[in-house]
Amino acid sequence: MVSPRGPRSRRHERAVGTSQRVYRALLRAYPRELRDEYGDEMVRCFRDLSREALEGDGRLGLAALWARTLPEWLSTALKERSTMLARNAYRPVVAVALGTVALLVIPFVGMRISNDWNWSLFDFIVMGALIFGTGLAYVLITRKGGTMAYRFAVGMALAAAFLLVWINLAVGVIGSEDNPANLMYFGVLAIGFIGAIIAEFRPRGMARVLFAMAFAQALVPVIALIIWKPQVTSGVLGVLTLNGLFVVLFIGSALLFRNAARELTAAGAGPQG
Amino acid sequence: MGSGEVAGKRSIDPRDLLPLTPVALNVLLALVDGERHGYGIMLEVRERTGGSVRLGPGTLYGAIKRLKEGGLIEESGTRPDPEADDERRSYYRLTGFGSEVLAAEVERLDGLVRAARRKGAFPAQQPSPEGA
Repeated sequence: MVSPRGPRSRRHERAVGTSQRVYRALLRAYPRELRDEYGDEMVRCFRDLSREALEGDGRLGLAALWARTLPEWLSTALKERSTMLARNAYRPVVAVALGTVALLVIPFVGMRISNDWNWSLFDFIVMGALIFGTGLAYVLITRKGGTMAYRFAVGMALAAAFLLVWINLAVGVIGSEDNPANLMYFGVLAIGFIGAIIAEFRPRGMARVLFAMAFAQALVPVIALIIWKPQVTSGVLGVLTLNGLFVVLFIGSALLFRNAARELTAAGAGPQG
Repeated sequence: MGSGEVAGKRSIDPRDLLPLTPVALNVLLALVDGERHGYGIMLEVRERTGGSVRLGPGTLYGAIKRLKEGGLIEESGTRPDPEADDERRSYYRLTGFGSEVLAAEVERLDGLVRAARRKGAFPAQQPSPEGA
């Protein structure tokens, strides 16, 4: 297997090294459990396959290996993720579903005893999806444990996101629910969603994401004031106050995440980036 | 094992884990001759199937994980040739239970082949080994 260290061999080794690094980066698509146990072996295997392909058919061989590997990587990563999800989340998901039903009983009973409460079937469906989605997100994010600070941070961030969506769907934070300015709040949620995926829900990264959300949240009324130039009334001040409340919630969550990151570092869990 | 390769803890009856997935069957077959590391399993499967089955790392290690969890294979503490190999590689071997499951699966497949042969389902029918 060992070839003389000629220029061709060095070129091959460079290509193998690059191939290996790219494959290691792709491993992040697999669940952490599989990565921790077999990640290094998978990379070594792929390095051997790359070396074999290069020695056999040169760069064309390596390209063919990648053409076979990428679809396999995608399908197995999805399969492993869904298997892990089904294995770990079955009971908590049932608990969240039951909790959702229990919470929906409140407006259901409220409609029976008060005329002020008037929800349509659509309202129940939307609220059910919101509660279930928020609860499920909490269960999935905190399922591997984490410190108390981390759990509180996740809870606070999700509660703020839940309220933001609910208020926007019901009455709208700015003006009414039909005011297009309210669409900007979905940008705040998008920052949280995309940022959390990039940060892999690690506390230090999540702290940055929540600070970014707080900043974006504060920016929304400023942009709305610049574009629509409304008269400064009590309504405007109310919007600013409500926004301030969300900013405080996001910053509070960010600080809790930062605290959780410090606790982990102090406990010797290594860098939590 | 049929749908998920290995469902969880070791089953008392090997037949409970049947049918094996093609990947699990190939991995177990590769380990019949002795212990191998992941790349060795890939090579054995590829050569034995004439290149028609090529296991990628994701497929292989997903199967290895489930087979290990189910007690069908285990990591070997020894190395066949410590001099000639990367010491960080893990070698895998069949357990006694794994051999039983493999035997049960082969028997099941053999029964299927014989049934298909009796019904003339083969494109080019060959005389059966028993001369029937």
